[in-house]
Amino acid sequence: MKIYLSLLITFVFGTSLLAQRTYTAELSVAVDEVKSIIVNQSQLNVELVFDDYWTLVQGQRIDQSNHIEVTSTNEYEIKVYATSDLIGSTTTIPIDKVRVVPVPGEYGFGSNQVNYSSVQLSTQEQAIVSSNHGDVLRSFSIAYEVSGLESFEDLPSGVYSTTITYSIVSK
Amino acid sequence: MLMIVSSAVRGQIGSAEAQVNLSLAQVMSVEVGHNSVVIPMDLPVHFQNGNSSGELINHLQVNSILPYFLRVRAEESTFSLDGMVTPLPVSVIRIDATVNSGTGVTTATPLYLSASSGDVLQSTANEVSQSFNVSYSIPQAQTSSFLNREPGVYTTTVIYTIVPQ
Repeated sequence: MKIYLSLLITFVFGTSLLAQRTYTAELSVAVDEVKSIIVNQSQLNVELVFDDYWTLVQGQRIDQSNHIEVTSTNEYEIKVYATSDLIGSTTTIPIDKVRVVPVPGEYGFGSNQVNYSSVQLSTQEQAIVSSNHGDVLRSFSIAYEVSGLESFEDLPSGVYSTTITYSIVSK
Repeated sequence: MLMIVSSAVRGQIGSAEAQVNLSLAQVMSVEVGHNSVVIPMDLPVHFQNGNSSGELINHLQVNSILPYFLRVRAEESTFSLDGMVTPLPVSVIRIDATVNSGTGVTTATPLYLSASSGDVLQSTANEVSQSFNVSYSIPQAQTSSFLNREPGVYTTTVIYTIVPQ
């Protein structure tokens, strides 16, 4: 006598069983080095007016509040240069008569120590701001100073102009 | 499964066949629709205002016959760069989920990523099948964490787990 026992057990593994209670995803943040500098669009033309004796003697200064805005992911320097001397219709004024004085701006998130340097403008790049850290956003105010122009009393009246360029670079 | 072959069975003569179909219904599951998510931080505005992955449509698919918590955590507390551990904390990432479709009332709670589990979703309903849109973001207040870092792709593994309430 033989006994046969055949038990067919079928497990139905549908997609439902493949479903998981835990699932993973890879999350990435692609970080690049970023540097940007913007000159305040309402201050693209800066005028120092010498229209009386005292300004000629004492000089003139104009403050441009929040003149520059920077973002930098790492340490940086802000540099400045002039394209030329101040060019008038018939003569020029040496550009080094203009002094650029950087001071902290009024907004921004930066709390790091930043070093400021006043410079007499040149056609060569010079650093006016130096930071050992990045800044998400920081503004700088700039004062433009021209010392007394007694020696230029004989200059013809008129407008003397040049273009000043700011740049941000890694240190 | 426990199979008990008793003497009664042995006592049968001939053959006997039985077909047992065991069909297990889906009880509780979570699935992530995007296996790789990237948040770019390569423009000044990304650092000034923060940035996000954008809203990932149907990023999470949840099925459950029970009230549930959907928990999320990161594999490590900090990001990796080229396979190396960095000090950059994963807690700079905020996760926001919103219901896209499905039945059942679910509460979505924005949270910051951590190596500890947090409840990003919870539902008190039974028999739910839902999909959720998810946004991974770096809020403005967190962007300074990316300053003074080596450029590169910082990665972490995000782990979602569904558990019954």
